[in-house]
Amino acid sequence: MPDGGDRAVAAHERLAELVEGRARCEPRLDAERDAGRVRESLARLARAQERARDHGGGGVGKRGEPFAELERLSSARGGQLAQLVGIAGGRLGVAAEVDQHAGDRSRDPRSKAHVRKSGYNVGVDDRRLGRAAFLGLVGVGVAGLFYGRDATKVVGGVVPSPLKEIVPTSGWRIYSIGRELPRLDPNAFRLTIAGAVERPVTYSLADLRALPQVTQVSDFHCVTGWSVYDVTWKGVRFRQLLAEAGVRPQAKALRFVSAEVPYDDTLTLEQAYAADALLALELDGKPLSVPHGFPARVVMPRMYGYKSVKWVSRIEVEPHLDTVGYWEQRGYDEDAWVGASN
Amino acid sequence: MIRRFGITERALHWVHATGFLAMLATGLVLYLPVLSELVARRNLVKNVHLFSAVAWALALVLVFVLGNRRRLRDDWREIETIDADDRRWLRGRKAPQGRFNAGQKLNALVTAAFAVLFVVSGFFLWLGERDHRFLFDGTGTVHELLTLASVGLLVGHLYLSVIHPSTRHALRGITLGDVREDWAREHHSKWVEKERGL
Repeated sequence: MPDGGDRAVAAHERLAELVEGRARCEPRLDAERDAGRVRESLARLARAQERARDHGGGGVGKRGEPFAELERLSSARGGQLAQLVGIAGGRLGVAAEVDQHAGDRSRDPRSKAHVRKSGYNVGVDDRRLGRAAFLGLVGVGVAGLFYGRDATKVVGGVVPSPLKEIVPTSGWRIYSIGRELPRLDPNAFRLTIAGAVERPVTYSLADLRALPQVTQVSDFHCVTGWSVYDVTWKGVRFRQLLAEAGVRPQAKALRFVSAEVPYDDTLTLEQAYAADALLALELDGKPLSVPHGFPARVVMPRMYGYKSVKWVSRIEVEPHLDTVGYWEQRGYDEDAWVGASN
Repeated sequence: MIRRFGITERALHWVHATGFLAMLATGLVLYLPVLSELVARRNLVKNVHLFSAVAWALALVLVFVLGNRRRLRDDWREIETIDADDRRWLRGRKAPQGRFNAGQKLNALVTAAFAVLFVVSGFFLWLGERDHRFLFDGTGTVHELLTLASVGLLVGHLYLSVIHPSTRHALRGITLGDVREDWAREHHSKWVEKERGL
């Protein structure tokens, strides 16, 4: 039977434990005396409770004289106990229990009278509540840094639908450097391959689609931290793309010039010939969309995305490795291998 | 009139507000494709964003160093304390409130936690670009979610402090420092009682 006296005794017992524990840890402070006071109060409560049980069987609502004594005792201790709880070093929960059976409103730490006398009611658990909210939020946020794959897609799940038009919700983030994304006319589009080649070649989009196509599934990593996994690309390997033009023996690097002026970047010839590098025309089974670089973009999965130039309109075959790409001029790595550190 | 905020508290509020708005404006340009295209010059915007962050953090440190730290500590103690009245208030019931009502306390706690998280995630965004060992999958997402939640918080904050007729008098407190006593009695009775009782 959950009777007020039991609760009071339980709370007192816990308080006594705490205060005595503190007395052992810090004997210099007045904790010894506090512990004595709590023990004394506990004993008196226990006696009162015993009398109450003998008298009325402890039934709720049967409030005999011993019950009144029990209440008086436990409430008279209310203010003092609230103080002691503070002293006891702030274990959670105790103040709330004491609070529950502190019957006399003027001694209730929540009552106005109490507030007038002592300023704010600063029960330890009350302070812990705000601090727990603060620390909990920080903890969740820090843990979020290590949320694994597809973290970018989380945003799409929590954004209210009116915002979905303007907030990026797929795994992709579209970064551009120009005032507007290049919207290239598929009929007028030409890709020129020039520089250290036997004969410069110009391809139309139809020409590019007529070249041998490969399909691959690879991951895409951005240097700003997000990744998109299992992306299906379809396009042309660079060896195939350069075959017609004929790369001269002194050729060292390819410079990809974007229609988004002045964006460009380079790959060494060796990097461009990697088994998973290609000039992509399709993404996930559809022609590239404008934000993804329509009609043709570089895909170099093992390097960060800024190497994968979009809207490629010209490929310059260079006999040297001196050319520095757009973001590399602004501090990024020339060899942007994913996972390697600068 | 009754004094609600000292110069340190007001400086803290407005330093934070200014820094936040500068970072929000540049951050949204970097984040939202519509704005990226409108403004372009990604690199410049990025640099302004980073510069604002450093300036904001330094200004906050200055407020702590030069300001009334005791007062700030007391504020924090009050804000951390969600007492029984606050809990009643948050459940939508009427309960006397201190100098900060429970909503303001929550707003302050969340804002402080967000500030810490913005710094942590922003730092790793910056560092990860330069040293890829510190590139974590969730960093950008945490930064983005914080941005979205902060905008929500800001909208509510602005509504209550500038538009809502019964609460907007609080704006005077955070700009000039003092508020009308009758208003304070109505909204922050525990605080006024304590202040006048001493």
